[in-house]
Amino acid sequence: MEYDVVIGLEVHSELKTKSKVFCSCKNEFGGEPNTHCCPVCIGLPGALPIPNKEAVKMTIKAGLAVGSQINDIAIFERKNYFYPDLAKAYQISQAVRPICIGGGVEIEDKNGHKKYIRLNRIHLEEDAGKLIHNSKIGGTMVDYNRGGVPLIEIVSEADMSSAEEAVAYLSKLRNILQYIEVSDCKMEQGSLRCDVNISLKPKGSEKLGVRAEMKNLNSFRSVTRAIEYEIKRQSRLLDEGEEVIQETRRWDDARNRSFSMRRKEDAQDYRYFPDPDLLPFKIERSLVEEVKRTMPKLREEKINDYVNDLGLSEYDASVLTNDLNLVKYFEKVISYFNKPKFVCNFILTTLLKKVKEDEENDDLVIPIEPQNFANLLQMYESGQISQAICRELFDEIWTTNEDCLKIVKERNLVQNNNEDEIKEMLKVLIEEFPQSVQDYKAGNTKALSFFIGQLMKKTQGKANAQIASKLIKEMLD
Amino acid sequence: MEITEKEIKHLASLSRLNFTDEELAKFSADFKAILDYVNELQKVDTSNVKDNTIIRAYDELREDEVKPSLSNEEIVGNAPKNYNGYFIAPTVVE
Repeated sequence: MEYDVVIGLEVHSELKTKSKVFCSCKNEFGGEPNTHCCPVCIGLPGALPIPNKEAVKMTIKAGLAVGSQINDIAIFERKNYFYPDLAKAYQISQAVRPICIGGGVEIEDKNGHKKYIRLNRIHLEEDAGKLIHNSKIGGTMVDYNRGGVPLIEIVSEADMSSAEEAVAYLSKLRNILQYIEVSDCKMEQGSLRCDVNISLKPKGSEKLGVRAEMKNLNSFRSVTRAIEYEIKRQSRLLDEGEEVIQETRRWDDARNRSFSMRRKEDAQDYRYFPDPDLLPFKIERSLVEEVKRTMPKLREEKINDYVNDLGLSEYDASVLTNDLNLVKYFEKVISYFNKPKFVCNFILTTLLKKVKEDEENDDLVIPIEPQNFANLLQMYESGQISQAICRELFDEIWTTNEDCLKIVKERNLVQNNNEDEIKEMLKVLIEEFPQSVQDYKAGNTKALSFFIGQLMKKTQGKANAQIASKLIKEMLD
Repeated sequence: MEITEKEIKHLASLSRLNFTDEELAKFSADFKAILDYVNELQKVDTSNVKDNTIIRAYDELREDEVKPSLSNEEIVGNAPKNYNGYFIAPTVVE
């Protein structure tokens, strides 16, 4: 039977404030265990949480960036569950009056078909601690450094119908959150995480099917695979006339399958109620307006700027702006070497390929200092070094990040642009390989590249290939 | 208002508590008394009472400043079990 797939996402993103959301401990990834902790974030009796202004502002900013309504009064509530990642046995979260209501983002598929994904809400809450299960010491190791880190939960409506749409939605959200500088969105470090709700219904049917919630999706790849797995699992059940059970399932990336965590009958009953330690707070219009005024440019505006001011093509600008880290890198590089088109070309053709080779995960890391990269491109563009040397150096400084100016000087890699010298060398080669001369005269133009290759071998890549191509043609014709 | 023993058992299991039959009976009675008391309060006519919820102004919230945390010894020192700076909790796997 054919089914319609119905998908909704809950995306969690850690805010990059300096301090935690309800206390003044440092908000920082990692650190020695239990060193960013105080009575508030380890839940000692009598400790009093006070909301962080910046965390509230960043949540408003996220809401404005996706067109949410900002509530004038927001309430913090306790979400009760008993698990060691929560020191207090409840998480401070928001239920009836979150900071942001509604909104949505537009996604686009490969064919340029657009779809609007509605948001239900964005609320502010605290992250939980980290558990490490260790059978050797006969217990679970608990680190509360992450406990109390500000976290926003962005809840979509069930508007998606495939893994591709879910991934497009997630990457759009990540892009927006990065651009407005509220989160690093590093999936590898867990600062962007995602739960997927998914159900199937007979094609065209109005009535929603029973849904399963998938947890523990920490990369775009696992989102795709978990959704595909779940569609197969549920359609098999339905095809065989069995029921889909409402449950929470944990995705296991290594085994490429999901496992049931909890059934509906033992579903968590969170017993939300307003946190008596935290009064409802007012969000004045003037605050919302202030946040609006400080809103940085989003990707669409960047693309426009790049096309109009830097002369990049729409396509190049769109690839370049896909990740804010790349945007920042690019802008630094062109501040040292102001040839945007040239820099952009090299990034798109060579650098991004390298990033993909290097990185298993979804986070963009460029190990070469922007200044060093700018110097390399400048030497190449001005003809000081050949393309071959440029490529070699690029690979080398990618791992060492050594000063490329110094390397070129020390190893004497400066390109030879001297026509007379190149001509002399070509003369020798023509005498050395008469057969190739014959080949060329017989119409085999490949013989030309053979001579260039030989010349490069002789000069360790230092001869100017353009000059050499021009000369060899003249000499043989 | 009635609360069933089943509901109390459910609440206890959510809090990882185990009650004996006697405790269960005692809690049922206690819960009932509390709920009856709240029910009694619900009867008061408050239609003329002004909403006196205190609402905090944004300005009263905390500035985003880092202040020193406690030392690791102070944090884990009171726990029944700790190891290498971590709290050790009974094994739980979800």
